[in-house]
Amino acid sequence: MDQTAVLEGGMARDAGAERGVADAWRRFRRNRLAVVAFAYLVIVHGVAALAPWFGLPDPEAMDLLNQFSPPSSEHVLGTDETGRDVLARLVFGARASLAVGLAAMLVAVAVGTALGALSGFCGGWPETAIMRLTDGMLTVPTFFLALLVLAVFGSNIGNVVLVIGLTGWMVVARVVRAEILRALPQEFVVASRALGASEARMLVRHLLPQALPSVIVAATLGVAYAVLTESALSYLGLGVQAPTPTWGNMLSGAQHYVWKSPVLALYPGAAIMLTVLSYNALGDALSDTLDPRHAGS
Amino acid sequence: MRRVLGAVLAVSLAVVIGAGDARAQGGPPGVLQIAVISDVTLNPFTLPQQLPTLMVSKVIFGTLTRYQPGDGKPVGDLAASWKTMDDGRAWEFKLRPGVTWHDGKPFTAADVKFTLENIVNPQVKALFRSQLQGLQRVDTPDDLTARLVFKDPMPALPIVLGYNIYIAPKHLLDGKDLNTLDEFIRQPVGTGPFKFKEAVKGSHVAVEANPAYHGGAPKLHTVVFKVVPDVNSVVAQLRTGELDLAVVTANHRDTLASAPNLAFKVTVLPSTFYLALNNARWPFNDRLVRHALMHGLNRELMVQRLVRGDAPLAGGPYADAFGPYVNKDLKPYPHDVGRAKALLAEAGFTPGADGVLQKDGKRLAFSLMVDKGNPEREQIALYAQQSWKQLGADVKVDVEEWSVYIKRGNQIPSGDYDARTSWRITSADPDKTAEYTTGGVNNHYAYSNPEVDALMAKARSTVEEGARVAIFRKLQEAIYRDVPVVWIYHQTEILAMSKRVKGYPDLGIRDALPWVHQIAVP
Repeated sequence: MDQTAVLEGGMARDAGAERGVADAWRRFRRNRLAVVAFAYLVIVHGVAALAPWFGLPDPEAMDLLNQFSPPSSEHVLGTDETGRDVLARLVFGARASLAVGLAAMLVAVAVGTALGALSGFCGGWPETAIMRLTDGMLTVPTFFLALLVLAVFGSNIGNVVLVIGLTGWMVVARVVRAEILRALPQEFVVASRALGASEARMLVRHLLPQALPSVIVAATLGVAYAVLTESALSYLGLGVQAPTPTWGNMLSGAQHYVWKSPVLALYPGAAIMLTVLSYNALGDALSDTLDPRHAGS
Repeated sequence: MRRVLGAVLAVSLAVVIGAGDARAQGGPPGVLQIAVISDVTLNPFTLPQQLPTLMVSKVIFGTLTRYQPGDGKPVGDLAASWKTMDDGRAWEFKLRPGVTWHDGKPFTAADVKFTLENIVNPQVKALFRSQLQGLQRVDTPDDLTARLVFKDPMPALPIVLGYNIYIAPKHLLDGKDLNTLDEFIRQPVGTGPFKFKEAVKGSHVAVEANPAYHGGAPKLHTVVFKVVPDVNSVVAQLRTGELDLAVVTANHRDTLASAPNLAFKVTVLPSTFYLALNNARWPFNDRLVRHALMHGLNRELMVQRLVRGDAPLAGGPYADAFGPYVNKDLKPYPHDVGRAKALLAEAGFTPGADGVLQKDGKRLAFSLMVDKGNPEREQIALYAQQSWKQLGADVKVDVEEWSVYIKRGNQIPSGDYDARTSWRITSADPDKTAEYTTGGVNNHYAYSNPEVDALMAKARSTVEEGARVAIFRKLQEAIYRDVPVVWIYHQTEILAMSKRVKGYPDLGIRDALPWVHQIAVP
């Protein structure tokens, strides 16, 4: 935060916030890779959201007389092993993969923030219990836990989201707790406590906003984890089930034809890779941009 | 995250490098290299791991009969000749004289009695016990005569005995727990053309020639069964000559077609792949609906495009491998969507508000279960879903783990499913009591027709060949009219074989291995 903003109080605080955002944007813009990644993500999410309005062929419609056909005006990226349009599957696959990724991230952030805030704010035995649970979860190989849970409870989109979310909240919890512990002794918190603010109000109005930048960074990296995990689960046949296309199950289907038509694996593979890399680049850039310690740099 | 990405990149790099086409070199002369998908445990009774174990067992152990190259007729292996007695309830086998076990001890009728009586012993978890159902005892009037006595007639016994009924050495196994055989499986002893040499877990099983083999000394000196669980590795090793024989899919045959060192052999198996319709459940209890689903599916296109491998379209449960018993007048039902729709209308279905057909307020909706992980079967299920949707049916594809698929599906009197992909491989014995008679142990789709039950029972007790053939042809007509399941194709085995391999008998790999002494690799 800008020193002047704090000193000038009331009115100036908004201006300071505005300048903070402008600063952040300026710093962000300097990171070329992050800008490219961000643009890519905007496009991919836009395409996924608008998928039904592009007039693409039905991604699930098989055409057995048109297997492995090369790119044409009708099938821009050609067709797969059962004559389904590869482009349509890629676009509709993005829908499923990204939706699962974002939803799982929301679950992870919600659980992580709640537990992190609770432990940082309450202290005492709840803190100990929650943090030991977090440490415990961090030692569990979460991917295998996810495999086990899906094998036992069956794999549908809801379960996949829950499993990825519930195995990805630990980092968020730790970050939120750390931010709250950092903020607790600061003057504005002490002041609001002195003014008689309720505990809930303090937590929601004063402490959690302090954790927000770090949560955004963790959430961004969390999407990358979720997309990658969903792909891996679908690849192993435990993710989103056919006929719904996802990048992961497209890749899984393509592996049987790597000798015959390697591009079938290339498209979803590249889509997963670019999306995960972009989210990582964006997360790194956001952590540079939003971290108060970098302020004014 | 970075470490994960690193691993992903490393794996993809390895795949790309692995794909590089190495020069075909081949193994040393006199050594045949065959792919199996897992390690094996050579217990001739329980046969764990099934197919891989069977393949190795076929060269180490002997069976009373085996199948003749070309026509697949049962001929003697450990048995020299046989005859039926008591209307097919008893069979007398004269054993081949002078046969010895790999440890030099003589093979006698006592070994046959020991093996067969233990296979039907409920204490022993013999994999193929159901094949010898009704065996009451084995008499051994002399060292070279075994008389098998059954409760009911067994007209197809010579076929049955060639199908994985390996004869085990009594002198080594008597009194042991046949379910484990800890010692024996480390150094198994048989009468087959090859002797056990070594087994290295996760790598291979090697067997060496048995010069005293009753069919003549093998032309090879060693057969190596290489454990290659990953099919893409099998393809790569066939190309480089690290494997001489392996069963591949049609898809991989296309991939390997350009390899100059390989030839392919296609064999129609006594097997049928079908979509089972649970006859105990609505709407499949209505024959018109079953007929409509049959006509509504372009099975010919599915076989051509999804299955390939020269698999013949199925008009019923009898593949050509069943020889004279097949009723060739019964042609597969034609693909005819108009006909299918008319049949559904005749059955009383009318279009509902949501576009799905309905009858008495019930929507024509059902689920189609398929086992997870096999792309071909999943594609077949998805294609059926799409085709039946066009008739106005709301079909949900239900992809299940293998264990769930088996547990839910393999129940009598009816499995817990609406429809599912299914198949069955048997010996060439045309008796299908288990699959198509009321309450049959493999009749998981609850098919029941008293006429078929009666004919099947009559065929079982008929020994005279001509009469038997006539009964089987007639009962096929009844099954054909009922369409209990939607038959799609008869499965084929595509064997990729190095051109170094000479003298391979005209049989599928399972039935060819007992003749492996005739194969040469110069």
